[in-house]
Amino acid sequence: MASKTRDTEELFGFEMSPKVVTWAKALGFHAVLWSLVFVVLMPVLWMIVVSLNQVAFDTFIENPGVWLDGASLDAYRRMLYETNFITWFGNSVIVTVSSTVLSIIVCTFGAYSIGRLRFKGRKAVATFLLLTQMFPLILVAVPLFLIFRDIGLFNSLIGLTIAYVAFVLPFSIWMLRGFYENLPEALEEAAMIDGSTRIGAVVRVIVPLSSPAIATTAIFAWIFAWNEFVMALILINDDAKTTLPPGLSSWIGQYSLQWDLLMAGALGATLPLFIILFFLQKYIINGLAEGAVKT
Amino acid sequence: MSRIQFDSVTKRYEADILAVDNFNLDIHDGEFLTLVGPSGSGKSTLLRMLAGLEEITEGEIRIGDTPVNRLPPRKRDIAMVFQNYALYPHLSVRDNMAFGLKRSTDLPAEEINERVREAAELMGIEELLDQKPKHLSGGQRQRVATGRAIVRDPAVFLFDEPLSNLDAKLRKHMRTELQRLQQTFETTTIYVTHDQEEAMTMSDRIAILDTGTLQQVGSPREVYNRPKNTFVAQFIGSPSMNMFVSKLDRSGDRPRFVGDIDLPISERQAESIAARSDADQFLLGVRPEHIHVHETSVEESVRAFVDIIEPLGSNDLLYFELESNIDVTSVIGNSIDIGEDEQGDEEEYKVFIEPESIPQRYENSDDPVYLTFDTEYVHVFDPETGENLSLDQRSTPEAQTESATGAGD
Repeated sequence: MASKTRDTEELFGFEMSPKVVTWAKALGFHAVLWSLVFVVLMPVLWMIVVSLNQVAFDTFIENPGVWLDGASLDAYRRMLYETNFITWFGNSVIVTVSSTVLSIIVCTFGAYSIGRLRFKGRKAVATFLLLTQMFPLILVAVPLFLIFRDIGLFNSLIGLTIAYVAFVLPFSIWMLRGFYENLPEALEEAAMIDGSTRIGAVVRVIVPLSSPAIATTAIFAWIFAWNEFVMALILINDDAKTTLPPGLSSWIGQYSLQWDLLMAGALGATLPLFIILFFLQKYIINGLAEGAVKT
Repeated sequence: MSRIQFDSVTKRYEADILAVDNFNLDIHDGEFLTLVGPSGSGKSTLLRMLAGLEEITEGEIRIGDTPVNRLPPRKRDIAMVFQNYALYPHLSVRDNMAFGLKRSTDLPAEEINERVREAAELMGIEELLDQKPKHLSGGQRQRVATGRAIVRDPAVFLFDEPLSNLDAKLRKHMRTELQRLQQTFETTTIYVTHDQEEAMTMSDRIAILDTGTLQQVGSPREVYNRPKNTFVAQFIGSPSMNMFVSKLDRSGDRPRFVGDIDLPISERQAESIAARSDADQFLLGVRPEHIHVHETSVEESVRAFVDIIEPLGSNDLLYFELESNIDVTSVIGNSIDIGEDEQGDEEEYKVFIEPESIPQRYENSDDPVYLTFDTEYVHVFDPETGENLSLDQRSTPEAQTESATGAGD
């Protein structure tokens, strides 16, 4: 009888059949997972609920029927036709796209030169770049306002774009630099011997290989520019030229607060980020440089 | 056409680190030349300077008759195979091989395709053309890297330790394959390796480097049979040359060496050695195949004790110790590199013997064996300069011209 195998397993001190154990483990795992997802998405869910019908939380819980009866897309209609939402959205898109594209181009070459080229003062440049990140944004914004006012960039989307690029660059360059330093140098050397210039080697070999890192940098720049509030508030004072975050905040009046309109606006502002993350996430996960050299 | 000249080439890195010191070498058109040396000897630096990946501090490099010091790599008409292959991971094998042709020529797409196909056929990788490098094995990657070089039909091939990432069997196979390719194309080839066996088997000529200085250039046989100094003597050949310390005694009626080993030499040799060096003790270098082991004492034999006998197949390698020996390092000058291997056991004496000609019972026993030496193959080195003093008597006019350009110091 000594050779009889055990057909039960132990879970938290209880003897159970293996089937039950597998099932219980899966249940526990999914319970934890989905509760986390729910907690994270709760605000978004509430945004949707309120944008359709402005109700209090306890009313919604006690009597969802009331909410359902009064649900309408009226807030969205008002948002689109009675406010500057579309203009702000357009401004946000312009500033975000241009600052993302610009910072990607600049930081690709900037990070490459700091990561690869051997020139005097390379370390100093890298350190000073990081130094700018030590100041809170609002501290930089006020002097920037004075400078921009004097050189005529105040109250313009170009000025805001430049400010965003300047603020995003140091971090992006540091991020990409680390990635470049890990790419085998022989790749560019091979490309240069094969007839490319150094810039050609960067464009044809380094950029395709670093697309996951560049995508990460792009997401960082995009999220920053899309969500940025303080600089947009300080550097733009024309309602038709402002971006979404300061624009939406102007709906919070002194005497009235239209929660349904605000939530509809917030949802409208969140949507582009959802879309961007959805498309770019595969680049973040992908390890393209795999197989470049024998490991 | 595509001969390569190194003219007083020197490379210095920032903090005054001398990587290559006044290097002169003339490589003939169509020649297969190997740069060999231990790590840090400057061989890769030389190759990279030739490729344009490293700046030349002083001197001039010419490909054909064009000085290339100021030319970017793409204008030098060279192709290089890297140690880690450096295949572009985001491109298929076909695009990897076509990359150079697309960049450096204006050939039409069909022509490029055709040449890539031909090169792939030559390398036996046609069925891999649509694969990405990460799906290939080490040997296949090596073939793709070589194919990428030959497809461009350049004036010069550069190989930077291309086989060191392969396993031993594949390495031997690729060795002959690369040699065959080079003979087909007759393209001037410079091959960098730290493996003296690779250098010996593949090259028309070998250039041996140590600490940035050229030690000797010559055909594989020449550098093996007539090493110019202790470094070359120890570096070329496996297992390396045995080094004994002995004094030249000219007091008797016949001059002879006395010390670790006792050897008679001719009056003429003694004269020539004494004329070239006033050293008291000399290093006697004897290759393992030029020593004979006897079980009984014979005339002019030296007593030794067997450490271990390693069977190698066609012959055995016998490690021995002498009754008393003088530490080589105590005799040699500070600047002399006797090329001790990684374990630092330059004092291990070795001799090739016929399999089982010496019974196992001699291993670690007190019974001595008796050694005799082929005196004509004994090299006498000056312990201060490392120079081979016995070289002149055997050197031929051909050897002198060949090594004349190799005098880097």
